[in-house]
Amino acid sequence: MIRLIQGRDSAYYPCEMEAMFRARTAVFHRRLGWNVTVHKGRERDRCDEENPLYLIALDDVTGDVTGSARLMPTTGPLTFGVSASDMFEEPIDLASGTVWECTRFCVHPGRRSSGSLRAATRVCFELNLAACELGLRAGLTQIQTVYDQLMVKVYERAAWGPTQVARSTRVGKLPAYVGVWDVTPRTLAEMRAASGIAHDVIEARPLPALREVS
Amino acid sequence: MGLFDDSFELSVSEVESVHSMDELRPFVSRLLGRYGLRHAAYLAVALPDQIDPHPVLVCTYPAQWTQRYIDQDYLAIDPVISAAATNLLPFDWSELSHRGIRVKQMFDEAQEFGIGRHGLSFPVRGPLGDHALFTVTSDASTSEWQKLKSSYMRDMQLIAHFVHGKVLEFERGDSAPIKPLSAREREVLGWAARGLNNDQIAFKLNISERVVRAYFESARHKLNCVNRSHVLARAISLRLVGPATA
Repeated sequence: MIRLIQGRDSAYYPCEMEAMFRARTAVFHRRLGWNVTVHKGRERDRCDEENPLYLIALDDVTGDVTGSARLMPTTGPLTFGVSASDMFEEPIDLASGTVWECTRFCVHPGRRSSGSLRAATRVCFELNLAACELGLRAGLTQIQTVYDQLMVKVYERAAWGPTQVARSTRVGKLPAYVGVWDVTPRTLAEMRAASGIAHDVIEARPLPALREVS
Repeated sequence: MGLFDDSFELSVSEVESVHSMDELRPFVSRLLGRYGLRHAAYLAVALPDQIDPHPVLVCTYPAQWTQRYIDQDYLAIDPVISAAATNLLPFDWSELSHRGIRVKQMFDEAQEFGIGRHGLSFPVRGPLGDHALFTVTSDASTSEWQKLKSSYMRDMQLIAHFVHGKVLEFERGDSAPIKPLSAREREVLGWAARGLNNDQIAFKLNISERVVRAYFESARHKLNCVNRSHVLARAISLRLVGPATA
């Protein structure tokens, strides 16, 4: 199941946010060796200050946080988002009101999520399905996503994945990529067929900002 | 079919007629009929620093309602406004909390002024840290509204960004793209201007057709155009592509 958390509502979700920032440290700083900033065990960058939309994968049984990703429009300033990173050889500055970008996509280290390949693949699919579900709801045409070499293997195994736009070998221990995929009912169907997940993955509840706050 | 289908050439001439702030309201007004909407409203919540900070409102609401809204200081309690500040995703007014006497009063009065039974708002984030909100309303039945929403979501996103782009252009007094086109985007436009379709361009550049579309869509957005022929015409008139750059 995927919970959507808007950056400004972080305070209502301390457990999810804490789990995410710590997992990002483990994955992007320690495992992948990316040039990211870690403070008190939490990896954050300036995108996190811009009120992004976080996708938090939760285990259906235990409620543990098993993965996370971050979504932002691509219409904001050039100083944010993928275009801000100097990771890629070719400047990536795709911008459109109907294209969002997905960054810090990761499966969290932990017994249930990364213990088995199948479980990790499932988390990846849930995150991508959620992005597609909300992309369709929001009238998006494509999603641009940053991923690493390990994800390439996950996508290949699953027979579904983004189309590569650019590659960087300067990032860390492994190459990193920017890819795009189409937000269409067909893509959703393909993802569902590849993952075996036939239902909506986004948690059915109102976004916090739209709930009454007493 | 959406407004931004390439077969709707008429839409390009309508779009080309928007040369000033005064022409924005009639343009938005013409969209209402095409989409079966009741009203539309654009509000700039924050414009770039270099522009005199004042809210910009372009709407089809009756003047009596906008005056009432100001007199009652509804801006301070309007949940649509606070939701716009926090959310990146479009939101339906029915998702908002209508609790509170003044909030209920505001929505009731909006109904009396014929604002519309349903509302859908699109937050817009711009290249200079600017924020805006584009709202459309409808008097359709609830089930009809659900259908309308899903079929028009993409078009409305495009319109929301197009109107915002125009407001920025008029406020800055500059129609040049704020985010420059990348070399790849210009390359794709260049081949398109010579009559190649996306598959042919993909073959020419040895990239996927999906990636060609991504570059095209980005160029379209940066040049604030509505469809393929529009962006090509604009690119040529700005001398971004043409015989010299072939």
